[in-house]
Amino acid sequence: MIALALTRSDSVAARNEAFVAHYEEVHQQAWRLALYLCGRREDAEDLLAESVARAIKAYDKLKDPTRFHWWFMRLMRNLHIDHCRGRKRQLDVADYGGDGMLWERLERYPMHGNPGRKLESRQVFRALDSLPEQLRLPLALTALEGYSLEEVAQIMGLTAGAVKVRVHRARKKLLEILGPEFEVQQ
Amino acid sequence: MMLLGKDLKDIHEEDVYGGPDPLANARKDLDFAAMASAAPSVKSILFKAQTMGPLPRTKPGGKTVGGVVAGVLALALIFLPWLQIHSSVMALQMGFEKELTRRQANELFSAMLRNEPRNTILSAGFTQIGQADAEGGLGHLRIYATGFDLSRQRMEESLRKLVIVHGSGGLEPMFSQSGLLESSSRVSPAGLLLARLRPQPDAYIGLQPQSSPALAATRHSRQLASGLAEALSTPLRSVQVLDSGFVSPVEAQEALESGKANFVLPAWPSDYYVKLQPYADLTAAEQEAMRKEAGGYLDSLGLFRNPDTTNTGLVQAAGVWLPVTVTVRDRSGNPDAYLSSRVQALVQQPSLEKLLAGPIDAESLVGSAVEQLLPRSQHREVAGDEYAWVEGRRVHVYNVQVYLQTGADTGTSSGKAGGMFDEAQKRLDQAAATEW
Repeated sequence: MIALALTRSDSVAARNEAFVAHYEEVHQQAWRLALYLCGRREDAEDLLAESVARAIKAYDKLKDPTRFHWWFMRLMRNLHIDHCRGRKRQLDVADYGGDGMLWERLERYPMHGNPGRKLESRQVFRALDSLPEQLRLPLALTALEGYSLEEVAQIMGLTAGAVKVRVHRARKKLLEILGPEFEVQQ
Repeated sequence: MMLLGKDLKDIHEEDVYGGPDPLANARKDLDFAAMASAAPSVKSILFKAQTMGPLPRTKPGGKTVGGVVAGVLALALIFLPWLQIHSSVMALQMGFEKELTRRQANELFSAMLRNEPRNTILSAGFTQIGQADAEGGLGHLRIYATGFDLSRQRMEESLRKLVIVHGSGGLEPMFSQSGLLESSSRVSPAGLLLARLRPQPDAYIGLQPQSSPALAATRHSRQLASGLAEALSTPLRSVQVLDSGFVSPVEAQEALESGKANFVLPAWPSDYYVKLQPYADLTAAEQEAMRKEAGGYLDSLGLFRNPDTTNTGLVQAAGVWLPVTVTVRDRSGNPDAYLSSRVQALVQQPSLEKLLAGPIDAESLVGSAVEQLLPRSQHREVAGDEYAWVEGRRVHVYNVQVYLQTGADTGTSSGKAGGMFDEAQKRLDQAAATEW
């Protein structure tokens, strides 16, 4: 009996270790995704922690551990839809994008580089944050995080084609916000 | 057109960071190292995951509960019995302080029969003053009205209007209520709809005619049964009415044979069976009293049909001598007392001089009356003639049998104002005729 209990606790410990090892690999990207989704640091932390709590419970259902990255990102995005989208006033990044002072205080996009370009990039990030989530997320994940269309499609639960369309629309919308001076002639 | 340094057609190609794309330039400025250092540690997130409560659910929860509550409420509204259905049978008597001649009484009641208000059955009696039997003899006219689901006020109003329009001047009707049977129950809207969709009682008792008072009478069987129980408790308190209702003649015979009924009364619009407890133990005189009481009760509502007479209504009841009498028969050949009385009221009776002059065309007289009441009906008249002694002289009298080839619903007008009664009657008759 004691041996069985020890075996069970050993297996739980091993499972938890495996989870932590997997999670450590995706932690940085997951954190940035949480920030893209929520905007405010505190909300992003809550979302990430809740996602981890859910992921620990559902970890046994993950059949292919190599897909942990996409599985976790997808879980976090779904959790955001279920629990946070209704609380737009507090949590939607797009709302901060319009409020310059608040947006600056959030310091969501720490930058280095020369001061001249920094101002221009700041405008771009602000415009990006003012986009609605269904446009902002695919554009940020492809243009800033470097995900492919297929990878974004896995995170968002869409087809690659749908992501492509959204990226196109997001870029068009971004240009409208930024104005003609950002339009570059080939 | 270029968007952010990319052509539209290749905008979905992999981003080549470092190009002219401002977004790519912005990405270059992004300090990922600073972002990484600002991120919470894995340990703190794991700790928080184990200690924090679940995030409040904001998306579908409230809406789902609201939807379920709304759904349950809607279902309750549909299926719970909350609609109050009130049903009543009211018997009114209408009298006049002023005395009328028999002719005036006949004319008035005939006109009232032609314009009978909806869901109302009319019958009348004429009490002669003195010995004069002639049409000029004075007497008191009493009209009995039975209304189904009608308030006393509405009945009085419609009857008063009829008297004003069709009576001779100066007639002021006086009303008294002789009976009221009421019941109310609650039904659900779904139950009400189902009841409407179910076949009506007349469909199985084979009502002829299917006029509005006939249908109303059959639909108020429950009230009639309770009134009958009350009436029968007067002579014998121990007797209970187990069952009663309208049945077709065939069903009445079967009910008698099977013991379902103790006796069947000739009623309008269909036979009326009664099952009492106890009945077999009663003496013959008591049984007779029960039958008489039941017949009297139906008669008080204008529903009793005397098998010895083919006509009903004042025209016959008042004892007026009629040279042309009418019996309307349905397709099965059964006499229809209701239609007979209405056609009878419309027949223009020939004068005594005309009768003495020679035979008259009674068939066409009755035919035109039927045409007037049922404009598009198919009918056939057969006149049987005989002799009668009038004021010491032998004259021809006629009994005309009208065989209807189609069903009949004469319809009735209800409470319309003034001279509109006849027009409304015509319209209803035409509508009824069109339905055939």
